[in-house]
Amino acid sequence: MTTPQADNQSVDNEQRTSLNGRLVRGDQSYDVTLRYASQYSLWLRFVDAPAENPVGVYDHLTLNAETLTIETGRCEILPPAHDQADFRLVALENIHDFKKLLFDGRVDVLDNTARNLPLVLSYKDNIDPAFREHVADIAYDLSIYHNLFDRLDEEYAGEPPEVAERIQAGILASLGPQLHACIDEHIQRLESLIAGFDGEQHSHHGYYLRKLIWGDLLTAPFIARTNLKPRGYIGDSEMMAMCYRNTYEGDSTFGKLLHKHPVSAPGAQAVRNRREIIPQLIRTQLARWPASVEAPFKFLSVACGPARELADMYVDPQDVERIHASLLDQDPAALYEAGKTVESIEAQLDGKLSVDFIRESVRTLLSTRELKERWGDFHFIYSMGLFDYLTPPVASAVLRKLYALLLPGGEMAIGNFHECNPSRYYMDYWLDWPIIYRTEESFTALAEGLKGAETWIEFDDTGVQMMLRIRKRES
Amino acid sequence: MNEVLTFSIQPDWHEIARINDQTQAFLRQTDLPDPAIDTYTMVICELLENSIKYGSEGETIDVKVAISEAEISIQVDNSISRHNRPHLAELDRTLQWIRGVQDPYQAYLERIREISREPLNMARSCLGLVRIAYEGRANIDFILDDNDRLSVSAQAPLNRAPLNRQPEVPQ
Repeated sequence: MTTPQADNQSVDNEQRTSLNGRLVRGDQSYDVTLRYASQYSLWLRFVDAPAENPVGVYDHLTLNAETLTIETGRCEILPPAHDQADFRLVALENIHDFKKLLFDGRVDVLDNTARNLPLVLSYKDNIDPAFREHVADIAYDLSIYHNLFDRLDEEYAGEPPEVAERIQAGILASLGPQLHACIDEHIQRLESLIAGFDGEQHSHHGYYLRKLIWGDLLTAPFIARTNLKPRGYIGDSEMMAMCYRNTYEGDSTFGKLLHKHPVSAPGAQAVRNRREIIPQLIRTQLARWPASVEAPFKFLSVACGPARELADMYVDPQDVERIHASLLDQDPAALYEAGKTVESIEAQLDGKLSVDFIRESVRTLLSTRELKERWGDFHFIYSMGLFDYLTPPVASAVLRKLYALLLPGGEMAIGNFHECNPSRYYMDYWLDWPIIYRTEESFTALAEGLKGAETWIEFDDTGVQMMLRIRKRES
Repeated sequence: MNEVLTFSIQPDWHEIARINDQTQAFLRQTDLPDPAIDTYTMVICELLENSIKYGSEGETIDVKVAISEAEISIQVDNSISRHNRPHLAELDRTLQWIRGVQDPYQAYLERIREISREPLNMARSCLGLVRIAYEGRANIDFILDDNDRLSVSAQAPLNRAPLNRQPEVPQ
């Protein structure tokens, strides 16, 4: 057990006025004054005569803070320190953070989340027995593999790094496929078990599965990231970068193997395919438009992420002068990574790219008029990892705005995963990565009403990545 | 079953109770079960409260409720003032968080944790949106149109009964 650390941050107690409170024990109540002592304790002084045997547990404390009344549950009074006149009070229930309360005016209760435990615990009551058995099998199999690989890691831990590295590579190649095959089998079985589930059942069963193999999942950097979402949203640029790298990553052999499995899945392959498809499309478009320094070919990437595809887009020094890129993303970290991609291309081609970095969410994009004033029109607009997260009305509206920025004769390529994605339930249940899947019909429907638009659907090799292609009539 | 209800209201807190009754009456004309009627009434009122809170004073709020065999779709449109534009970034973040997890209840718990770390005088929680996702099992999204009108939509499939329970909110 971790020993909680004392709160060492100094606070000028002299600056704080005392608070009034009332302590209750049985049918007795006592008026008290309280001052800040530490994050989770207060100095306490009885207003009148203290209780007989004041040290010990009380039923509750009512504390009158500036703007509100705070109630703790049971609390305990500790004897004064040898150089102190005041007792120390510690809450045992409703454990308030007194530093936040007294100095920041914030209410934070240490044991609050426990209030919702019954509801979360009750998830398990509604778990389908066959699914429960399925998760038990997964947990058992993963624990066996986890123990095996950890034991092997320990065995050669003392070897020189270059030796250990090769041994691990050998194990990854020889034993890794067994673990991957085992996961594949479980995922295949999952689909039949959850057929017919409604949204709530998917939620509860997915949560149940993840919680029972949580420790295993967190060993894999990719799965840990999709589950924990450190940037507050799913599908961030680092997740994409992991898909692009498609390598073994993690602190242990088991973690590396568990990481490699999803980044090798069809869904991740579709992400990698995007990186190749977009430069090909751009090259095709470039051939359609005579571009020069004065009138460069302009493209816009919406939700650009790390923009790795740019590396295959700029192929000769001429491109530096005849292409203007606008890269839009809501996430400054993604734009930073895109900047790094641009820098590496500049170093390679020995020239300065013409690039606008635009930090903006598509949901709050300025009006079309303002956008046109600011950025002008584009020959080509693409967005590959965005529409999977937009509901139909918003997706249609975003599409309309982007279409308005397209020059006559210009084209768009908008990506969305097709609902036949074989990684779909793997993503939902293991990775906690829900997205909005579409069919050809529902995707094309988003473009209804776009004046002068010719639309068609294309697929990548996996059949997972669907692309809505739109061309604007010349005039 | 293809029913549509549209109406406009002034951004007045007193309108909420009337809208609540009007919405209930409309939903009762459909074959939705009682728990679903309560839930979607809550969804509409939550969206309206947000509109009144962040919308431009004196500007009309438009509401559209469409019910088909497959889904219920609720859309609330209102003008948003420039000084409330920063709120949209938070709305965006919150919705992306909600939509990025398979289980909306986990988003609900996370939001409560976040709120507990916010100063008391910041009367913004977005908790209502999480309730919509969790209790209404609805996909929420929004967009700002060319005329600075904010359109917030919630869509929920109707092939199952929505939850009609409210987790305890820490006081």
